[in-house]
Amino acid sequence: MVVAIVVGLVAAWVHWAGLFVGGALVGLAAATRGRALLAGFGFGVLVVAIFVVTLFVGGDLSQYLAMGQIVAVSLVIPPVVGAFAALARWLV
Amino acid sequence: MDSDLTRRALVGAILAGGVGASTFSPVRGYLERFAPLSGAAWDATNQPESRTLDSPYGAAEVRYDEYGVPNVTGESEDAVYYAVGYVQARDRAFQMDLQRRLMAGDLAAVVGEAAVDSDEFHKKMDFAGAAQVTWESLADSRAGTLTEAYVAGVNEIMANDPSALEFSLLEYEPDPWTPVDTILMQKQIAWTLTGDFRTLRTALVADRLGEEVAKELYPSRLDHESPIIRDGQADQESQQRTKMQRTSATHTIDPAFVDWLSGFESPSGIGSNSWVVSGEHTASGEPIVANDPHLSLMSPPVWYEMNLSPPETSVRGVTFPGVPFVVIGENDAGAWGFTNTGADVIDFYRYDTRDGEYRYKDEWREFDTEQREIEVDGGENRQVTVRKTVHGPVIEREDARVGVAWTGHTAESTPQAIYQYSRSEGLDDIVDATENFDVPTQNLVYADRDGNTLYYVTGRIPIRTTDGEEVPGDRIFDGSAGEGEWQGFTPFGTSSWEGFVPFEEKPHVVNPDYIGTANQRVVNDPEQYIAEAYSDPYRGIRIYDRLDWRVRSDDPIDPQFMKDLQRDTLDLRAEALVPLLVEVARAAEDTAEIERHVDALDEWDYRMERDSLAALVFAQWFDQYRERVFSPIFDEHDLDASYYPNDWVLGHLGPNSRWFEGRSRAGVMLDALRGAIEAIESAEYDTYGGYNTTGAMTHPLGLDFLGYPALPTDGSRATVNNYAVENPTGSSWRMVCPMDGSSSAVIPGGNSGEYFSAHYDDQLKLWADTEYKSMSREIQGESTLTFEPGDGQ
Repeated sequence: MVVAIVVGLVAAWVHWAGLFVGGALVGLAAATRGRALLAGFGFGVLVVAIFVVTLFVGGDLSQYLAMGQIVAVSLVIPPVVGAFAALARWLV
Repeated sequence: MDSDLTRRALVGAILAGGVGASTFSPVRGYLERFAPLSGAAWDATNQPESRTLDSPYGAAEVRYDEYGVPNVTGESEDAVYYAVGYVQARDRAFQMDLQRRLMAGDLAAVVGEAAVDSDEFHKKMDFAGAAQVTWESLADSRAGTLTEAYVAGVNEIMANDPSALEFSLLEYEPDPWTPVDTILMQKQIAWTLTGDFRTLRTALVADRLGEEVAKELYPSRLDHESPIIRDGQADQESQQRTKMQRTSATHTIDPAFVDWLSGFESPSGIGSNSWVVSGEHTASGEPIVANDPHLSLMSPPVWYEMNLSPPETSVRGVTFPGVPFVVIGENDAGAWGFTNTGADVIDFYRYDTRDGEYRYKDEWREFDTEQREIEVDGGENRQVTVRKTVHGPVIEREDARVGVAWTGHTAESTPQAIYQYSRSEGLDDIVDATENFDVPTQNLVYADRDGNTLYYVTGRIPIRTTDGEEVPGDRIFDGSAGEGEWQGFTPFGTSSWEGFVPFEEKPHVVNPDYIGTANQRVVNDPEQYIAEAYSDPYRGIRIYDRLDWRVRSDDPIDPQFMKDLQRDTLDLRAEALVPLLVEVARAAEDTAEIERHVDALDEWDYRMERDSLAALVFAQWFDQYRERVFSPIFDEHDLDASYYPNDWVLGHLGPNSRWFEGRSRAGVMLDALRGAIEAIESAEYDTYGGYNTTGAMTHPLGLDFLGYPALPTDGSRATVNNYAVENPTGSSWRMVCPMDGSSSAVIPGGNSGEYFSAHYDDQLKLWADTEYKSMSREIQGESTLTFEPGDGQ
């Protein structure tokens, strides 16, 4: 699972497809289908958290938070994509 | 800029999911742009504190000071200007690309359908062609060589690494920058300051409302006593010239066409203030220069500030992104500033035509014709026909057509002049450089550390002739009959300028004691036709009043006084009209609900200040009054508010004026007052500062978060402290440069156009409160960019 998360994060750093990769991997690594969905969602939340921290460290957080609709879209993307990709568990 | 149109288009483009929406689904667009960590929108976050890069032009160092002003040093001028290109692109790449697309007519390629009209206009005017010939004539000059170094620096970012948020929002990457693009920026400034279709509008109004009315609405001379050069001061060489009659318009142009063209003029309110005071009257005994140019206010700001220190020079000031050299500022020898003269350097022509040809005097000639393409994102590309005559480009639309002669359409050497300003070593150098300053016509004020001062009108002014006789440029000419000729002018080529006002004959004063310029009439009896009309003289009058009083008093002038004057909020329109308004309101019946407001007006000192209720009432009242006076007749004749006359004309309408026929001036004033108070109550403003805020200063994309926060500020369109919230236009830079002492300046917003930068809006509050930061030429700040000699490709 840890490997799945790390690989997913590295991929997501570089390209949005990484969110799918990460979601799928953690989904496959989960014990049950239910946990898979949770794992995918959680992976997405982790991505968001790391993102927010990097913004904060870079002094860009307040500007990000001012961006209106874009904030909403960006926050929603990783958990949704992560959970969706975790459905790969259903294929196995 | 035709901002409304473009802004709508750009917001539309973003909401539709960016440029990519035409080929990909919107969802993918959101993922590409906004996915946390990988999204293109976040490219500009997490920039490293400092970097080392290669420069093919030599070693240079960029330090950013506490306000994000790049302080640039280098082993050579070329190395410095390479670095300048790099930092301008780093801080303003999107703005540069947007302006270049606008001027070249390439906006629809990024934004889609809504920009097609604008592109059509700009392609027909062929500003790009004018930029091309200008570059060709400048390429071998020193300014040209440095421009090439600058362009290379720009492309390090623009071609390799454009991380600006706006590119990711619109999902496109900019094309590489070229020297012609830099010249195109210079044409844009020139067009903003001198491109107007007033002649056409006046002709239309004369056609609809009659010649007499047009003369009353748009007088060529306003009745005031404060021209820039007051009697007894002029220096220009006298020449006997035949006195010209102002001729009536005999040609007119299709109204819809005039309206369409008017959309491509710069907004009203473009103007500026400047004044220079010699050591005669200053505390230090050395001169002081003050300048605040009035341009469109937006985010990022129109100007970009830089502090450059190549070997042997030191210059600090502002420039337009896309232009390498400081345009307004100070160097080791002196300081200079510009205000718009308002000279008439554009003329219009009608023609007899037949089938691809036009008649020019005795012969039929073919239009010089070219096909160009307008790329339209998400739509069909358009073909546009660019047609030119001996005079210049011909703008056509449906059946309407007009030829345009504009001094910016030829090769001109202004970039070289601007470069020479930054290298100048005193008054003589500045005068020499000004001889090359072809476009636009500006009121230059200058002072140097030897104690000299100077006022000079820059730019080439045409002497129009019809059959060898001089004529004013305030009418549409019959191009086929050879009217309104400009001798020595070759559009899209090189001009000899022989038929233009000789340099020594242009209005100027060498070593004036003090001179103030605010776009008002230049001189009372000019030897030649200079302008069709000038701006409202309110600021010009106020500046001279305050300078005169101070000079007559026991207190010498110092930088503090100069700043005070830049802060002056006395509105002379109010001083003239409010007593009458109060009288009218007191005499009327049924005014119980507006009593409070009338009392406020009665007790008011006529200053447009944020805490004032009276200022709020006056601002709203004036515009309501203006509308009520003119709209009945204008609407009847299908003329919208853009045809209304200026404030001075409105303010001087007496009770028996034709505009009050069938009603009374007092009645209209009272109605306007009621209307104003109603508007104020429904908008829930308490004081002027609730209405007069910086929230009006928006970003071209129209997205809220990219604009500026709404801070209250002072001033109106008629005060020296200039802010016209209705446009918005106003003091786009404030600068006070004492020759003996420290210089101060401020920009409305921040020096960086990069949304995530700490300097995106860090000067906004200073500006809103008319405060200043240091404009010292001392090199300061932490080293951020180190350029090492090497071939970084």
